[in-house]
Amino acid sequence: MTTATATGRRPSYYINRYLPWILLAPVMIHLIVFRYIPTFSAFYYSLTNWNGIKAAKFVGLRNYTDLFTDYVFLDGLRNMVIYTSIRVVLLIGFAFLAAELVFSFKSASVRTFWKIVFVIPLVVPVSVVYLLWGFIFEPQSGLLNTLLNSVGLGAYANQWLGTSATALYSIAFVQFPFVAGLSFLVFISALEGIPGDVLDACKVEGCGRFRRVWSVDVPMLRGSLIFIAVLIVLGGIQTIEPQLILTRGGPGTATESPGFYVYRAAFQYSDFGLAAAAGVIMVFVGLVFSFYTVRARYKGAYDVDL
Amino acid sequence: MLTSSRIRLAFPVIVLSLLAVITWYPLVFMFSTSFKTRTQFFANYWWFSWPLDLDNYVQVWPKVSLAILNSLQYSGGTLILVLLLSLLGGYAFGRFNFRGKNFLFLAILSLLMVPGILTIVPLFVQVRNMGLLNNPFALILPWTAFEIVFGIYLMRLFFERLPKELFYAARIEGASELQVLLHVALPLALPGLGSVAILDLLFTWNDLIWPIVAISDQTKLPVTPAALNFRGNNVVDYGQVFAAYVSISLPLIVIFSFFVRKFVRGIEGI
Repeated sequence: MTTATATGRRPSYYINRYLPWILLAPVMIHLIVFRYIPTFSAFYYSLTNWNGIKAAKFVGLRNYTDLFTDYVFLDGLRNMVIYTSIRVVLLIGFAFLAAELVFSFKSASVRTFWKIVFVIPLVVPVSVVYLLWGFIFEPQSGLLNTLLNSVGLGAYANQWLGTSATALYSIAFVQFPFVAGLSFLVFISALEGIPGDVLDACKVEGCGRFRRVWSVDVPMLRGSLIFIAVLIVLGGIQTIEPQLILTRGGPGTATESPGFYVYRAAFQYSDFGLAAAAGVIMVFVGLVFSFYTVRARYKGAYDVDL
Repeated sequence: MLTSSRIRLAFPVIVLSLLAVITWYPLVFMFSTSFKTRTQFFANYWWFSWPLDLDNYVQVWPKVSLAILNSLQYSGGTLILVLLLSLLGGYAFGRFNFRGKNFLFLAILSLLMVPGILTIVPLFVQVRNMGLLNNPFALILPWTAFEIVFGIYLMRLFFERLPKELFYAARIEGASELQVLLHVALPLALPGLGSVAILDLLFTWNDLIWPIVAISDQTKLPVTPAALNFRGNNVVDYGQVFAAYVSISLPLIVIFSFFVRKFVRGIEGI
């Protein structure tokens, strides 16, 4: 074999030396074109009046002041907070309950069976999930009202998505996997990762099942719980599917969301500057939230790394 | 004897079964209704009606098959690019030390904090100016850019866990760096690439908003937005609608049922 010497370096020497850069070049070019440029231009566009075709005109912060005086946007922000709070409790609650129950089985194959049961619904396309829930809430022949009628609770049947009082809560309940597959898997694998001697010590101390869940599992799973909560909240801030598929933000502004506001401002009213500004505000909400959560994450005495 | 310990053993099974029924029944309902005529739907609402009526599927198949083919094309193209770029990027970060490595890695990771909704407007303008609207690449290229961020992160972790001696040994044996990448790193990277592939497929198959924005030609839509077009206006034939939803959901369910154990482990590994 020939080796590269200090004097006569073969081309392969340079290939080897610059290999990381050669490997990363396509990645970086792709990211610059499709991620970095759009990200930075979004901040710029948010300061302009622009319909996407003519040259953008710089208007300073006017889009932002417009947003904070637009009740549709403000209602959207309020809905976002309510919607997200409900989903954090609901999705984490059911997934954690299911994970604890599956964890109570000793046999690995029984656990795998239940994991598969709750994970398969995860691969049903999101739009089908929403459409199906649209049918569940459908007033005439929908599942929920038919069920209520057939058990004699017809008085509670409702236009779930068509009434301001219930529309927002109804879309917050959309999720077939009541047991949300991803959170469930993260929790169960975190539970399985708790060191055996911790559980043994707990048993020796004579703590019952509920005591163990509260005093051992919850603190040990702090990292996973916060991780999933962050995912749900970041998803909640960007929510747009229920509006696009089910409610179009209505009735009135009952189910408006900032994400849907961005979509409508840009692609229905061609106000690209306003849409960009709304997007920027959502990013800030997300960043502020993440900052506080990550700080809370590192305050814990016990931590299980994901 | 029904002892208290028996009740304690039965309790998780009962609650889990209840949760499973709530989770699965809407799916089963969709499936059973997809085999019903209109009269069967109103006569027997809750469960399967016999004989199964396949006409709904025959009716929706032309449109559905078109959407599925589109999705396979878009998601498949994205998958190839994502795996390739994640492999290259993850390998560069996981195997080598070079100047500016940490800065570059942080710069890539920070993209995780940039949500799609922020960039949707500028990205749309950019893709339009490139003349890509209604073209498969209008979806493939931006989707790839979104998915490789986490892909590179996962593959870097993966390569860092492999013992460095493997690569040194191959180098000492006289393999060039490119040969090391192709013949040592790639085969070892397959499980990691599997996790990346799963996450990527779930993302591209489910994305709704970007295809709606970038593809205006209804015959070119992938399955997730195409599903919205099967809703009737007033007189709804639920059998047909649900037949469309079932056929649209099937490809991914079939793919994943082959890999479900790997899938469970893959997600747990993240």
